[in-house]
Amino acid sequence: MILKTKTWVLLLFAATGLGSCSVQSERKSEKYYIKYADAIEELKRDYEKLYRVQPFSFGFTDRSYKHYAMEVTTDTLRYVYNSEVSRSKMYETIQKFNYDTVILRRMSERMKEIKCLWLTRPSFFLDGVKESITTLSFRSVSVEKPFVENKYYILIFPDHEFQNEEVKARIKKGDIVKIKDGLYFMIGNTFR
Amino acid sequence: MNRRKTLFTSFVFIFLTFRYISVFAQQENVIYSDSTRKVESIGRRRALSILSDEDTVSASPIWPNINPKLFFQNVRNNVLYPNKINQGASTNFCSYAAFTHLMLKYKPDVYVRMLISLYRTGGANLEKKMLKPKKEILQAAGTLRHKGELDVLHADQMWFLTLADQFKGYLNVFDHKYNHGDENKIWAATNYAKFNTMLRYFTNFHIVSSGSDLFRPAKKDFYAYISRKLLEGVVILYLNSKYMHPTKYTAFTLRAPTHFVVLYEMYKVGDLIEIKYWDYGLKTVQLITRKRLYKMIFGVSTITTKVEDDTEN
Repeated sequence: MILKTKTWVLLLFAATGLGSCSVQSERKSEKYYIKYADAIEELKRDYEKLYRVQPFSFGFTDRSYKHYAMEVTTDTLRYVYNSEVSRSKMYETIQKFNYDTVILRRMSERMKEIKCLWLTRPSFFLDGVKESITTLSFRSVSVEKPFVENKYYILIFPDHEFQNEEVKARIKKGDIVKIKDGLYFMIGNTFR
Repeated sequence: MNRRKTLFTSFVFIFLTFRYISVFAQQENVIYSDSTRKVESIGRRRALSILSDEDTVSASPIWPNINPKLFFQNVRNNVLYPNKINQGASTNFCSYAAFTHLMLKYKPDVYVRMLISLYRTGGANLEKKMLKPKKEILQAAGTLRHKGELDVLHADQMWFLTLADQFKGYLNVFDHKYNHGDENKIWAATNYAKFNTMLRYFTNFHIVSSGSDLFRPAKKDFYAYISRKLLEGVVILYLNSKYMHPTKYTAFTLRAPTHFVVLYEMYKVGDLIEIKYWDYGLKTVQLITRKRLYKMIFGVSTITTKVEDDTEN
C-alpha cells in the first residue's frame, strides 16, 4: 500500500512537472514574440524579400552570436559557408547572388539583438499540395544540460492559415500552438 | 663542370615535366571522364525508351496505395535528374538514396527495369539477389506522410521501403518487421557493412572500403587518402552529419557515423578543404577544416572499376 501511494505521488510529481514544462514553453515563446514583435516582423519581411532574390537560410552557430552561417540554395547546388572559417567565400557568395548587403547586415544585427538562431523557409506537402512556411528558431530549452538532446523554440509563419485537418488536429493536441493569426510556435529537436 | 650542371638541370626538368604530365593524366576521374558521360547518356536514353513503352495509367494490384501517375512521373524525373533523388524529411533512408543516386547516374536503364518489375510483379532480380518485399511493404508504399517531397514521390517510397525491407544488418536485428513510422527508426538504419554488401549485390564493379561503425579509417592523412580515392573511382563517405553543420549549442556530440554522402570533389583552399558532395537531392559546396574532416569521417567506400564502355544496341 505504501509502495502504491509512493508510486502515485511520483506519478503526480511527474505529471505536474510535464504540465509546468508545457505551460512555461508556451509562455516563453509568447513573451519572446511580444517583447520583440517589431524586430521579428521586420526580420521576417527582410528575410522574405532577400529569399525572393535567391532561396537561403541564415543564422548563428555559436552561443556568443559572433559567427554567421549561410546556406544558399539553387536548383542544383547548395553553398554552405560560415563567417568563422569561410568568411571570404561567404562574401563571394553574397555578391554572386546579388543580395542587398544593407538588408543582410540589418538582418544579422536584428538577429543578434533578439538572439534568434536561425531563419529558414522549409517546404512540405499537405494533401499533395506544396506548402512553404518561414520559421525562426531561438533559445535552446536545455542548452546547459549535458547528455540531454537540445530542444529549440520555433516560431512558424505560414503563408496562409492552415486548413488541413491533420495540422488542425496537431494544433488541437498542442504540438503546434497558435500565438495569433498567421503565427504559431512549436518545440523542435533541431533549429535549422 | 658547367656541362654536367646543365645536363643535371635538363634531367631534372625532363623528369618534372613527365611527372606533371602523368599526374595530370591521373586527374581524369571516372565520374567526369568523357567515356563515362557517354555511358550515362546512353543509359539514360535506354531508360527513357523502356519507359516510353510502358502503360503509365493502369494501377498495380500488388501496390494498392501507389498512384500510377505519381509513380511514373517520379521514375521519369529520377532518370532525367539523378541528383534530385531525396531521402525525404526525417527518414533513415540516406544510404538507399545515396545508392540510388549512383544507380541513376551509371545504370539508369537497370534502375527502370527493376522499378517496373517491382511495380508489375512485386519482385525484381539483381545480379546476386532477388528482391521480394513483404506484404506490409506492399501496403505501406504510397502512404508515407510528413516526409517532405517524398510524400508525393511514390516510386521512391516503394524503392526505399523495399531496399530497407530486403537488406538487413546487425542494427536491424531487433526490428525486422515494418510497422507504421518505422522509416524514421532503426528498422531502416544502415550500418557500414550492410551498405557495402548492398553495393556488391547490385554491381560487378570492384568495391574497396575502409572504416567501420565504431572506428575511423586507419589513415594518417584523410585528405591525401580521399583525394587519391577520388582519382580511382566513385567515392561514398560514411560520416557523422553533426560535423557537417557544426554548432556550439551542444555540449556533447556522439562520435558515431550517421549519414552517407557521395563525394564529387575535394580541394585545398589555403588551410581549408573545399568539398563538393551529394545528399538530400542536391550537391553541396562547403569549406571545412582538416580537423573537422578527420572527426567527420568513419568510412570511405570506393567503386574502383571503371564503368565499362557501353555501346548502343
